[in-house]
Amino acid sequence: MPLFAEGNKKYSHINKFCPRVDAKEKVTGRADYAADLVFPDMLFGGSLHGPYTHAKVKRICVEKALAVPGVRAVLTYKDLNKPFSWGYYTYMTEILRYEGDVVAIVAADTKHALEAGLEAIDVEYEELPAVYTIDEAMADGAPLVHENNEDCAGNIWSHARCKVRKGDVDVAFTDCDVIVEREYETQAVEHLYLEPEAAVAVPEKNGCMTVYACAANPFFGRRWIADSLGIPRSKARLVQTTIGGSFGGKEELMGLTIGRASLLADATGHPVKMVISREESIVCSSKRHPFKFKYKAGVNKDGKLQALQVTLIEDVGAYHMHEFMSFRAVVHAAGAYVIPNVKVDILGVFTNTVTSGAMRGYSSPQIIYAQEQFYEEVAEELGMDFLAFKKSNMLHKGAIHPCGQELNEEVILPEIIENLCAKTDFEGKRKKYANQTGDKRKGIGMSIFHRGCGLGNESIDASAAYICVHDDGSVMVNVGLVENGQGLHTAYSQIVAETLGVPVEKILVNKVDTNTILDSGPTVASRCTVMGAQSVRKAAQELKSYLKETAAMMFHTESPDQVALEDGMFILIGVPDAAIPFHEVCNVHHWTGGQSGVMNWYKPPKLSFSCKTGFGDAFPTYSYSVCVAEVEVDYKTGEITVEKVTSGHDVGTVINPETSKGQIFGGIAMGQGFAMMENLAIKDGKIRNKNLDTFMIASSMDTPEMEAILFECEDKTGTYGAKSLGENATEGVASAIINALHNATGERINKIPINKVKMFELLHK
Amino acid sequence: MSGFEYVRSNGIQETLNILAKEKEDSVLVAGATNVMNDIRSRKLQNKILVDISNIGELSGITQEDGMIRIGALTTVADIAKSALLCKQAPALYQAAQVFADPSTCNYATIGGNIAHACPAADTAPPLLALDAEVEIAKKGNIRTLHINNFFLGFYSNQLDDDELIVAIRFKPQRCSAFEKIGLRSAMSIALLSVAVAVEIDQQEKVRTCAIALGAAAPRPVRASHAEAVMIGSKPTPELYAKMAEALCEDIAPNPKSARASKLYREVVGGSLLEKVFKNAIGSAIE
Repeated sequence: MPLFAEGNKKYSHINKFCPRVDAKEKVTGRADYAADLVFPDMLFGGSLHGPYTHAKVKRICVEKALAVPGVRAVLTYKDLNKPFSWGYYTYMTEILRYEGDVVAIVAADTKHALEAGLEAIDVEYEELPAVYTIDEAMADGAPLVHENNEDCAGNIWSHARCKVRKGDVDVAFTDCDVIVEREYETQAVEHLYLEPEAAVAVPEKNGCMTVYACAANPFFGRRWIADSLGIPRSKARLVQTTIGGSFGGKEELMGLTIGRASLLADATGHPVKMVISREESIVCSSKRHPFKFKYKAGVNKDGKLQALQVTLIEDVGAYHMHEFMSFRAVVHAAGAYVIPNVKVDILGVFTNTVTSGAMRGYSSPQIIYAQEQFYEEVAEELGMDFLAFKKSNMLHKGAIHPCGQELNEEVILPEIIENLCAKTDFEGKRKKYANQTGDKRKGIGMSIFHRGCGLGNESIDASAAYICVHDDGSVMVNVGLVENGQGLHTAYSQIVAETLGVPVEKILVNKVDTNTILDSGPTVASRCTVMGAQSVRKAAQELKSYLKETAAMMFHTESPDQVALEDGMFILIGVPDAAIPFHEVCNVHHWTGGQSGVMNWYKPPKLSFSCKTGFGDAFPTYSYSVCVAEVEVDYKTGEITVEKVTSGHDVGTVINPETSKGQIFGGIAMGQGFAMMENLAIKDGKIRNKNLDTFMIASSMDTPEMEAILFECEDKTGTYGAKSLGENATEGVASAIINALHNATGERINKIPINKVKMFELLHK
Repeated sequence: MSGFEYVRSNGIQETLNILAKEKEDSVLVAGATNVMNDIRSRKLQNKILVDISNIGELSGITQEDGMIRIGALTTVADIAKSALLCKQAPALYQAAQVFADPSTCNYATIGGNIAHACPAADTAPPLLALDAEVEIAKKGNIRTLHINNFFLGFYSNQLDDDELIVAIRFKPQRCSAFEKIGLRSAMSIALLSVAVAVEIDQQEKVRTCAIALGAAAPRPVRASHAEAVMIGSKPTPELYAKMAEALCEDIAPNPKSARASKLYREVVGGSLLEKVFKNAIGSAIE
């Protein structure tokens, strides 16, 4: 049986509450954000965007801009040594492919001179025909977003290809009693981190370039510096500043901003600060991929799923960097169910709209919205209770995953479902709400989902950690993954405390400086605790072994195995009162020449899934979740009130119950916004709601009562048995709300978001 | 934001002198909650920003000779805290409660809200229902306009380039109420807003009735068809149904309005109006 994660496991520093180590600097306003940094002789950098979504620059003249007092540099695509940046984006471009593209960048002494300089650039464009939707882009003879690009077949991106092939769906469909087909659609969503992108590039005297930036992926940041300037990585350094939220988004625009600031700093020899405005951030930064889904299931009258065919079509936008998403999307397309025959394909389509990228879930919020509604519709067609249908097809220990992996670890879905059903009176309410009349009708809905922990086969899930002790007993930790608000530094502090046996107060985890730690990949995929902390643990273990040698010497014993470290004291096992404080051992360790620092590395065991065969082991392990939403719909006004969301997650081992619950609460608000509110008003490829007066996210007045329930199990895969949580927290919420709306109204919602006006129109159609 | 000049004015006369001189080149700035948006989106360019936020005599809520007078620079936050308005003009008081987030309410002024003439302006329907008058000054002249004549059309009003709103006046109306519907529960522009001010006679019949709508037409409007149904009759469920039907005649949103359809505004408006009407009377008549 699973445990409720309330510190039930036998640990001293993890598995229990610890105040966030970064709370004080953030709530007192002392945290160092990139936009706050000032350097001597620093210039201000900015970008000129074109007025078109697809156009060619016929003529660009910068003389007038250079003549503006205070303007130090104006650069265009002509000044670049190659047309494309790393990742096929463009720093400055001759061909504009969406409204966020940049034709020139300027550095100036003041913000006013910068603005005047940007306005003085004279550009003549030739507007080109454009495509704005998946359908337009896939039509015969459609204008091409990328001409002469070997990665494209028409507007279809040839790299966004991954598939699942298990059994034979075509044969299976012919034998099935019932075939159900449905289509669903989701929208682009803005991350809307509180802090827009900002970077300061500082040219160093030795020919190196250092960039201070709120980069969620510092080693990508280093690539952008090296790529923009054409310098070796060894001469490029990225120093991470405090990150005011990322949710997967501080990547493409952040990287381009790092590159553009580097170009201007290089051209002028001055530090250059680029701070992105809210409008620019909304227009230019990547968005959650809009999807179109086609689901087809074959099922027998006994309620057993026999075959599933899914086609996922993503709107890539104008550029791409996310072929990795294709893998995660196809692996999760079938959901947490046992299906013998599975065929999944994904297609990426370029359009002249804002680029798509990673946003909390990396395809899963979209897919779960579609699939968890779809399986209810399949049950409906069968005349079965959907919960009974889902339970009878659900993943379990020993089952074969839809892409072929044998699940050898715990699968605690039945326990989570049972608990949440009891807690919410799910079945009782469903029946009660089935035949309502009147203006206000209530509904309850559920989503059942799973998530591959960490990167799995998506990418390399290896990471580094460096830990050292000083002679006063304080501990310093350098890591390659970032604190972006998720609580990583607190979790890492607790993990180091647990492993070393010293209190959290002794430990300082630094922000990432690419000169002080090995490339540990990006901070994505909810990987940083489950896998990223493995190197932290290994480094702490190794360091502890060296300190134990010194302690053994101080205890005059031959064997370090006789020594233990508990609560900041070295003790001699079995000898009462033989104890030496940690800092005294550290002091002697230093002055006797002991190794006081350790760099360690963790690389997870190799997996076998291949996008070529579409079959294999995709992830090292999975976490399992259930979300229940309770809603009320006002038939007169269409008003939708989400009254309560109960969210239960298998976290393996919880590191910090309170910060975990905090992630779940935030995830609920984000999932609710995705289902009901957050929508970019895109007209002819241009975003019209560019600021918070018109771009709507749920306010605190809209958020429901929330309950987060953490479940633990025994799964040795992750660090101290921990699993992923950050993205799980948001991915099933929209689906639970949409299913609850069906319970309340009998209506299926095949396109989101659904706000009160759309609900009204659905009810009065 | 380049191309702007900034002048700080410390008095009404000084402001009128500046406006008389600069006319269409000037833009009055008080709370700047609308002006800043227009500057950021470049709707406004190359203007002289005349900052009047420091003129104390333009601010305050007073009652004299049976009239309530609200200075143009009175903030929405002050209206939301006013015990006088809570009792004597609940419609306006209620509009201030749901106007925006606290920081916007602390800066936004009632004068600015009507000067901006947004069809969804939250203070406009209450002022229309309260039969408010707008005191307008220019160099050497003061005029008074009924609020219903003040609004002209989509984001336009009768204010000339050299004119300044000084105050807004209306008679107390205890039986008044306001409500709005937005796309979220707070900090939301109205999809539709309704204000009602009503007097009920001894026979429980509607003696006078003013109904005003926001976001129902290109400008804030009085709902004369709905009003006509109610005047002289005793509110009953049947009468409310007739009122809702008549209200459809009063709703004529911009056909390009993407936020909600005419049908939505008609159906939702009918039930919203009934609710606000009952709130205004102060006791629900079933």
